[in-house]
Amino acid sequence: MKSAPFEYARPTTLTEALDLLDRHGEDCKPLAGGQSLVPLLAMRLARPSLLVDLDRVPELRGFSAERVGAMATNAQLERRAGDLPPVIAAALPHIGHFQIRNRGTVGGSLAHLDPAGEWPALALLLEAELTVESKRLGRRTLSAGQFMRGPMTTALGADELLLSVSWPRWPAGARWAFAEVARRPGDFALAGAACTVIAGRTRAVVFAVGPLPQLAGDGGFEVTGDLHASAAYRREVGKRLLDRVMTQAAM
Amino acid sequence: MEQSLRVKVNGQAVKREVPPRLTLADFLRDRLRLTGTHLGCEHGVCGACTVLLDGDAVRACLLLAVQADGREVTTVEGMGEPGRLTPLQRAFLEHGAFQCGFCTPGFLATGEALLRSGRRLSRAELPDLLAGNLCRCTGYGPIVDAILEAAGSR
Amino acid sequence: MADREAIRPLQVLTPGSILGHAVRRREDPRLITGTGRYVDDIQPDRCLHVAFVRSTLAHATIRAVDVAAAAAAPGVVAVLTAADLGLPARVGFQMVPEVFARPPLADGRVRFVGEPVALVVAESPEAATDAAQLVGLDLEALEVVVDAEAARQAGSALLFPAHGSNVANHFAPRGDDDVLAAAEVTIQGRFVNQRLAPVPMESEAILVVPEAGRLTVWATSQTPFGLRAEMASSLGMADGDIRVVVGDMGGGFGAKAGARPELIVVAAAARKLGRPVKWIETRSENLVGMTHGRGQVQQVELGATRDGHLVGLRARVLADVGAYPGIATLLPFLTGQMSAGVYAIPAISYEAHCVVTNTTPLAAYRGAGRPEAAAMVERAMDMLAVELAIDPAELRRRNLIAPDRFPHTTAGGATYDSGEYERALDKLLEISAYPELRAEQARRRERDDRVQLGIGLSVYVEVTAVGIGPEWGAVRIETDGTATVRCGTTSFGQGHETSLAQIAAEQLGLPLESVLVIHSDTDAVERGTGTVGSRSMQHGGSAVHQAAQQVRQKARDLASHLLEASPEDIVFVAGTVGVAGVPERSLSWASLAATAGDRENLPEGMEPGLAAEADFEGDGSYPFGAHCAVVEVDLETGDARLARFFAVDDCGRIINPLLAEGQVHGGIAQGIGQALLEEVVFDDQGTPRSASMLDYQIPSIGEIPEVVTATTETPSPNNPLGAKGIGESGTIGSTPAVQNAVVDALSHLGIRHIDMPLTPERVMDAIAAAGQQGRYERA
Repeated sequence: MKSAPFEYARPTTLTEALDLLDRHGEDCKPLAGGQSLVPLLAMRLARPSLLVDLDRVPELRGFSAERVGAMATNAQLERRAGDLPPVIAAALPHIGHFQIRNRGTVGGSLAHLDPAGEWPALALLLEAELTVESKRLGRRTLSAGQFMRGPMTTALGADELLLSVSWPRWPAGARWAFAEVARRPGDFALAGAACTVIAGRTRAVVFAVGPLPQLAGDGGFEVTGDLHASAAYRREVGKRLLDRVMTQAAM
Repeated sequence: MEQSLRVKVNGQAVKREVPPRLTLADFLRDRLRLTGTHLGCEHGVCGACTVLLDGDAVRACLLLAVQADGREVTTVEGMGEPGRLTPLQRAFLEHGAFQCGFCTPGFLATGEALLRSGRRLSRAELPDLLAGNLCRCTGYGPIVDAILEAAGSR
Repeated sequence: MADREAIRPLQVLTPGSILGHAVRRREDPRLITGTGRYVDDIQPDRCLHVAFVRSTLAHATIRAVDVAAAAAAPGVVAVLTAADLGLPARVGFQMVPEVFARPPLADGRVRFVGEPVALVVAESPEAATDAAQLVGLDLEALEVVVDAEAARQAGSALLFPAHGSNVANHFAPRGDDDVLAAAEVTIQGRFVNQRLAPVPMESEAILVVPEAGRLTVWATSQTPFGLRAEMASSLGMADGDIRVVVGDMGGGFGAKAGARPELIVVAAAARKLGRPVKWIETRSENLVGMTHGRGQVQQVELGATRDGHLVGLRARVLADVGAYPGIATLLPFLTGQMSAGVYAIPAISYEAHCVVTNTTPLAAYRGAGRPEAAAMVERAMDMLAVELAIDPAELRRRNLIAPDRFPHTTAGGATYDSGEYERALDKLLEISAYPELRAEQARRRERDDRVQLGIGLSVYVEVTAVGIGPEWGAVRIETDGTATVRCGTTSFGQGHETSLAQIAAEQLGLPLESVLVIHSDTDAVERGTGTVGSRSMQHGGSAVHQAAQQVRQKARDLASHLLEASPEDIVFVAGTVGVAGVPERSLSWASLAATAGDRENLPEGMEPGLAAEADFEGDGSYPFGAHCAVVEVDLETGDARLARFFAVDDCGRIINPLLAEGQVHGGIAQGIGQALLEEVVFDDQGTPRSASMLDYQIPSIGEIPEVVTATTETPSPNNPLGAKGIGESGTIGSTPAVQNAVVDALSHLGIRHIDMPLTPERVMDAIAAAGQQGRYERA
């Protein structure tokens, strides 16, 4: 398994990175931690002509309790898990294996948008805002719902970068729960759910069951099946996990 | 277009021109002839190619060589040699923690990273920490025993 | 009672024997430091690299292969098709009819997705991969046959029209079919023993270096001599013109025996191009191109009296052998031979059909026909236990073949050499604290817990080293006093460099460091059969043992002549050969070897040299054991997780407990993989859906609980070591134990069987079908 050839650029400022994306558009692909992109390259399922490595762009680094730079790795967050909303801390160990978390970034996970990914679910659950920028459109802020368009599909233009993701301050006394079913530690979930109870308001999402993470509501949720579990399994277990996290968070 | 790459590998500074598509694993094996790092799947699942990048365990097949520019890489060749084994390598020998040996360098990198992290390792949490390395021979039990012993000896 | 005497557990052959000790492996220092030598670690100058172009359709005629663009691509040296190489088609196994012969590169027709059609040979792996994408395959689709049951139907599309049917062979039932007439209770089941991929951590790999009319082949092969023979005959060369060397090897599990067509093709390319050529299989190729294992559908009826004594077994097996029949057409025979398991079943009717399908060919995979038998019998025993309301341990005990009935010929047709089955079961129940497990299970049922406990037993017997042929071993004392052992077996993780050295060292009284083992090099070893069917210790080890015995005898005679002592007084102590009780009258092995080189020093009639060789061929042996799996099943999600695992295994006399235990642990993990995780899946057009390690899931440490092991030792009378094979037992015993445990966890809901792998979804479906958790309805 060898990638098709591509060119490589490693900008050292945000402006430089956005310039590259602006010039190359659809032909180029930003490279964050590479933990999802590099396998796609190896299998030749992705064939960009240029990779723009974001590793040395200082504007994308750093994080606080309420804002995470797109290039913050999951491992960096895990080491400071106590500073983060506890539901994020609970979800982090489920993101791949620790070797993957050493490289995998928050921004990469959101921009890749695997429906089984934990970060898209967390973004939706926490009512996160995603800050994106391009030379063409400038800087704009999208809600998680606006950002996520479909499986592996975001609102990001080809010339646009995700800069950071932020969420409201986690209030004292807020409650939460997180649960997922996966075959092996680190595998993509067969179904997952997470819940917060903040100021008496319950918010729950179900993920890894359909095309995108979805808010729990009256209307049920959309499900899809694959090799590892059918749509029927995911509907039922998604429902049970939602029940489970809502019960746990209410206690 | 080839990119120039400066990287420290097992303590030695190396400078090479490499094509961007070359993975760190292929760079180590084919350009530096450090063939102790093995490729089991080339899509980031099996963990056989795990090496240390600035001390962190990473998959060498999921990293382009150019991404290691300016960093320090440690492979199994940089850990110990016959007669001067690391405590982890000695524990692997003692417990029969490998059979065919193909996955072993990856387990050693993962184990080294865990030992160097300074975290307390317990039998209960090791499954979550070791699940990123697959072994088809040992059934894992001896590997857990070896890592716990090495952790206890420090 | 003579037989009983023969199988009495032996202790040690020689006081202070090195046999039976957990000697550290001599392979280890290089493997632990990354200085082993696997095929891809060898990087000769001017080496070319191969990428195969493989069929994208499961069944098609090849209209054209357009290589022009690929041939013109940068770095490409050659693009070769069947027509360019002209290699003969070969059948995959001696007993397969010629009509099923497979051309090493597809010629005119492709029969599975992944079948190689062409190869690109280029200056780098990248260039070869780039160019392979430029080869144009013009395929005309034919009707695809994926399902084995459909393939057997009249009117099914045919893979080999000249054969007139997709049934490659048929094992007809022997004798009376009315085997259940006396049964008061009969259970019936349809069990799917699913298709698995071997997934050795090192994929297939080969490097062929042409030099002065010879080929040196570095390969990952369990059978270097077999590979050499097939390569030589395909290429029209003499065996001696090919040297096959196997260095370190990252697992095989049966799938690296014989000669895969790709290996022959790479050798032909190297010969044609006159440069070293290397092929390292990618993992995706490995999952569709390396042979698969298992793949049986079993219709089973097991009958008993009300008080739980077995009356008869009827089994009808349909085996999928994939697109090209090979050794997979033999394996259902072994399933039939082993269909009695450890039980005294008076009558068995067994029938099997092997069918071809448009899927990856099947072959041996760790266990090869015997796991299918154990799973069938042990699953049926558990169903019967529920039906009779007898504890599954007790039902098994009532039917075990008693120790005084060996050698024992079963109604399945096998003659078991030795066995103490009840002893193994007793030990298992003891180490697992079985009654306490049952009590815990009852408590959870009583409380209606969300997570229920299941306890699964399996008492198994299997057959090793049967019908494979002799093995060669040789021992020579060098003039520096060390011994060189040569053997025709091949080690790919088993540690033969250690265990074979132990066997020779024990006979010669030499320290282990003084024994060098050479194997897996056809230039350095006279002949060999290889490592398949758990035969290496009992056949290879016995050959080495006999050769060492002859050397010992000759050394005794020579020393007695030189020291003017009676042969009975000669002793082998601490690396010397001397006279008992007279330490100063002794000779070092070095001086003995030097003396033996000169005919003048020798007694009348003795040939020069201190060396001997032996070809050992013995009957197979029947290792056995008892396993217990304890699982927790989440009734809300269907997630089944192993909590504990207990194993008692008996592989006869143990040469090295460290190595034997390693085989058991690894085998158990692989068996757990079949029970819980692994399955090769094709869609209805024969396209593989499990072609990555994300989709074909082998066990991680997360699924393997702490495994508690124990051994009993019931030697085999069929070889001088008393050894039985241990390479496959763990896999054979563990799978049904885990499957039984999951079903047992749900038996109070009325669930009697779930097919493997026991995915959360399969478990949930079973719960739903049993009318429980009614909210869950299939869409």
